[in-house]
Amino acid sequence: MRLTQPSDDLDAESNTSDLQNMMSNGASSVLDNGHVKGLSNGSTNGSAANRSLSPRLEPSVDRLSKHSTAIARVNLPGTALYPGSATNREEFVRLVIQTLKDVGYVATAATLEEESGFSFETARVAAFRSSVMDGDWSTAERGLSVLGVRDEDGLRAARFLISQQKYLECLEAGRSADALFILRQEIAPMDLEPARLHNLSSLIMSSTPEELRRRASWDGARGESRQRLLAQLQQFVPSSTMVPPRRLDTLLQQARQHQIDLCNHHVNVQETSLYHDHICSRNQFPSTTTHILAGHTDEVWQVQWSHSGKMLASSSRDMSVIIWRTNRAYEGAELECTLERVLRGHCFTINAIAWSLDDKLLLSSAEHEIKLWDVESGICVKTMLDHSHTVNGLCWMADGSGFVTGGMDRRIMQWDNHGVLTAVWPILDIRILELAITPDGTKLVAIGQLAQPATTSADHVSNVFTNATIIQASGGAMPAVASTESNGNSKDMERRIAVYDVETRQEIWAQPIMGELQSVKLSDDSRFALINHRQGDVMLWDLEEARLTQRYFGRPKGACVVRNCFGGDNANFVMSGSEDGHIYVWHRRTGTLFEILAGHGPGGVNSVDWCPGEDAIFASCGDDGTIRIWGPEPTSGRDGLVEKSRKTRDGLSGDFDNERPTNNSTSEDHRSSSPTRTKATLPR
Amino acid sequence: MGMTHLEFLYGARIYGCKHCNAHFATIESMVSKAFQGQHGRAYLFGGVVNVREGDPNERQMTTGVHIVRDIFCVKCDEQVGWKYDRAYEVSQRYKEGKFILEREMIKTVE
Repeated sequence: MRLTQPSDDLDAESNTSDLQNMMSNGASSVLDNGHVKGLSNGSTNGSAANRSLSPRLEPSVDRLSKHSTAIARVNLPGTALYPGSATNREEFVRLVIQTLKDVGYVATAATLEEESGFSFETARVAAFRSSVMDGDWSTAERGLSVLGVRDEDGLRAARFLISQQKYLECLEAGRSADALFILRQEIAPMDLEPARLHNLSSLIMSSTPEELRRRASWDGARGESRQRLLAQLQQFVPSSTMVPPRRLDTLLQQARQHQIDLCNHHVNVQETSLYHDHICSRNQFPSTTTHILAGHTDEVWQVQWSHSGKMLASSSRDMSVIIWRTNRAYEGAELECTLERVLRGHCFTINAIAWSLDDKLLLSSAEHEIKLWDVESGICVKTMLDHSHTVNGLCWMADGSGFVTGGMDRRIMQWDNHGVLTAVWPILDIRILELAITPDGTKLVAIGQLAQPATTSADHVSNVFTNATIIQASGGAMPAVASTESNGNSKDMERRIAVYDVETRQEIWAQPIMGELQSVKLSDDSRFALINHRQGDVMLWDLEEARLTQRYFGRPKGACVVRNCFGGDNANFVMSGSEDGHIYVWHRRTGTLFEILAGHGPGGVNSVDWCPGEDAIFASCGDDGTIRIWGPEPTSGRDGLVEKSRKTRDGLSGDFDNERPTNNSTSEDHRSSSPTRTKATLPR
Repeated sequence: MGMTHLEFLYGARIYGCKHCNAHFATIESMVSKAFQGQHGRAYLFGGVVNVREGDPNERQMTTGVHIVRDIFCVKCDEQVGWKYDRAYEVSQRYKEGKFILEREMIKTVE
């Protein structure tokens, strides 16, 4: 039971009268429970406000309490931190005390305990903590049940952890007889899985403590193992009794991560401050065209950066592939783009291109022709005509052993690095529209259309029906059963996403979808596939869980093949071209469409690709025959201009028709010039 | 316009372009085999894919005057037949909207 103490400012007479006052008013209803609590007491508010830290300096003033300090307790009404706040004051104060103690401000922590009346840990908890850290195992075990570990499983698991630590420490100290005793009496009856018990028993054989430590992956009694044991044991104790370590810092980390997750234009991780919410300005996002590369004489259908990010390959309807080189003279300089090489030789329009992992070779396919080019010299090393129909899927193996091609003839073929055919997969159900291999090399993801209507086998049927509700909403047309209508038109044919195991060539799962699929890209963590759909939406599929995770809306629907890509640091963005000539950018996690970039000439934007090396650069290509490189707006000198993103789906303004949306800083912006045009004179 | 994929058909027998194997029509959509084209025999189909239509013009045929458009393979741009837009004689009306593929320009593709 505690009472507020008079400060030393008052003189003796007023002290006693004050005290009597308080005793009559507020003291009667003090409760005593496990936690020492302050009481709300309207009359003490005014007087309590004057109490400050100064009493600490004069311990002689104390009269009523056995504590040597004269810290005045601050009694506040209610339990919330601020009036109307959702935070509980007691929880908050205890977390602050924990943080202060951890950091080293022990005196402040003690003062806070005094002033608030909340103690961080009861004596029992402190005793438990010290017993574990000192190795007093019997006390620790008793402490467990006292602290509230009630359920049988938890108790058993905790006891096992303690016994294991005891055992290892005995072994380390060389007391093998004791260790054996522990093993027999305590650990063996605990009903472990036999492999674990075996493992522990075999540790007796270790000759030296170092070997023991290495084999058990344990760093010794003097190392961190006791800390870790404490942390593990804490999981069984209710968290209000024993607060998890570093709790306040954990909460702040979560808040920071939450702000970053919501930040739309987040291109790379930056310094965040606790003072204000983190939000990136639009200035960091590449929203301006910095270079226009003109070299093709017809529609450009695909662009792809090399793995190093230094070269760009583009393929076009004019039956040529052009390799461009991008270069910065020094860090922070402007990017220079030059035409490096034109690869001619195909007889048809180019369907697909693919850089080898080391960027030394480039594959291109046009109808059924596949050509392997040496990048350095520009010579076509090999022409492969093995496919009987259009080859749309080109992909290099993740281990560098060669490449894989897939075509509309329902065949996947494997080749080595010289273009020699090594294997042909058994004929598939689908005609391949595009394929990709996960970076970890385990799965091959193919999108395609069925060559024949699906047979009504049990597993396929269940697939269609369980996902029918999601898919049919967008597709429109009913699945075509084998009918003798006018034409078995491929418009009505089922499309599929099929995932195969690269090693065994078996199909892992297949997802039927109505409506044409246009392109597929895989994420770097080998987990997600980004697929463009004819209806305009871009789908994000989880390959491990085999389900649709996210859909990005906003694009108009279209019949042409339009490609997409992941962008940004940590694949924060999803970007896609579109037949209306704009580039759409969504925030990956929230699905917000926050940019629609205009700039390409008439016709659609066929492909976008984010540069792997650079921070914030991407390339796009379109039907106007040009390739555009996009970068952040050139700085006008006014840094730190935080502009909230207004480009949500609902708030689209007319700004998008301009190449550079009007900003409040462009009037002073003389340094920003129109994008540099690189025109290429092609050798005829 | 952007890259597009060819259409593919399924059926008991598929007719396609002689030069580039592009699918045109299946035997299920065939209406008649008894037509004559510029290069000999020709077939009448109800629906055809992977063709590009040219401009309409009036033509005098054995069965009367018709308005027809030439059709070309989208992949290799060869003229493979024509499409009937309008027939002036009532008995020929059944041909309207249907396609003629010349036997010379097509073959059976797998």
